[in-house]
Amino acid sequence: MSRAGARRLDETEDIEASLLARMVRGDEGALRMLYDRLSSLAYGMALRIARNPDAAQDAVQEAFLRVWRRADTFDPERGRARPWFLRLVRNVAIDQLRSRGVRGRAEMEKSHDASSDIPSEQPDDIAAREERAARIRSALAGLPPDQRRAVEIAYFEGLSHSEIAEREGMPLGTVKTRIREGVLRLRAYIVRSEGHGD
Amino acid sequence: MATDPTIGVEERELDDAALEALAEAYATPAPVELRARVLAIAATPAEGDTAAADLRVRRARIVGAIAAMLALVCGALLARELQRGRERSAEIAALVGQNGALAVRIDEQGRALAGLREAFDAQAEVLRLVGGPRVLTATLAPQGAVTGAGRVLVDTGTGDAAIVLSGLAPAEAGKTYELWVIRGKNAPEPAGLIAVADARGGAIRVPRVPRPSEVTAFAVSIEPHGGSPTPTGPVILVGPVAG
Repeated sequence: MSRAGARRLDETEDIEASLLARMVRGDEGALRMLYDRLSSLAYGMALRIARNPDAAQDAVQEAFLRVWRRADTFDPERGRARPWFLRLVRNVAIDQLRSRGVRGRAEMEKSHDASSDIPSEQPDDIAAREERAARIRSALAGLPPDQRRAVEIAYFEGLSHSEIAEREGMPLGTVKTRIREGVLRLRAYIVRSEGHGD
Repeated sequence: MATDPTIGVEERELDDAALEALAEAYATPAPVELRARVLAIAATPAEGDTAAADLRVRRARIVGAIAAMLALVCGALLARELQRGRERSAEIAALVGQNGALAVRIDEQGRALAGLREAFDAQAEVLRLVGGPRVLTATLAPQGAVTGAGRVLVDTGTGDAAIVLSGLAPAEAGKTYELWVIRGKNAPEPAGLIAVADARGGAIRVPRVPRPSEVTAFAVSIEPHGGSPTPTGPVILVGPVAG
């Protein structure tokens, strides 16, 4: 991992973990700051899972509600705050998707029309985010299709390795291997692209 | 919220990195209204808190109701005690007043009794004098426009004396009646002050008269309160010793 990337993670970790600590004390300003920092990630993930803007908003709202009420459950010893929160958003979105009894993803798919949205991010932040997002999407696109599919099913559909193996008709070991290799490739690609960009 | 297991890979840090990377790949600006919805969370009580809040409200209401009831009861008790206190104070004041009135009456009656005793003693003395073998008398006639009369009786053996008055009004404020003993052409000698209670008169004991056989007349004059060593006021009664 590049020095810039590590420094960015450290900075991000410090701020978001401290925001959670403030939210434990009922600091509403910390909630606002956490939302402004992570809303794009949370909404984008929820949207990728739910394929529906309204459902995605519900999931994000629910996720922040749970964080607000139980920020004390975050243990910095077990990991960083951002992935802890993203894991929460993912789980909420998947749970809500399952509770709706969606049989076909296409039934609920509804494109998100962002043309009328007024972004809450600053233009520079948007550009940086979109640039990084483009790099990661490029990295994903560069994965072997079976690895990419395995990774996206695991992270966005909430199936366990066994469930993936059953649905895809492949051995469990194969599923684990494909996911692991896909993640490693993805990370390596990102690190290389960030190193070149520093 | 239990600690979540890893998603894609078992290594936590790698799993976190993958999750973050995927989230960044799909990052999408959230709708503006979502921000307001999320920030409103802070003002919304939790479902569990609602019950606790309701319980706290109910408890607060119960405590408030009990406090209000206690306040009413205490207030009523206090008011009743205050009223009783006022009533007792009034009773005490009335008793004090009555006691004072009684004291005055007792005092008055005491004085009246003392007066009666003195009058009785004087009457008894007069009777004794009148009945005695050696009594000197002097009839005192009014002078000027004075109404009233008097009679002096003296036991020549002992000098005990009394004056019997009638129709003489009590002396005015600051004044007193004084009896004088006259011996021939000598200057009058003070023979005692006379306290007249009312015009009905009566017997009044006077100090002993020294050498009664030398007395030629008696007189009564009006003098300042406390008497005078020599006559200063008008003579209202005067009379020679009889016999």
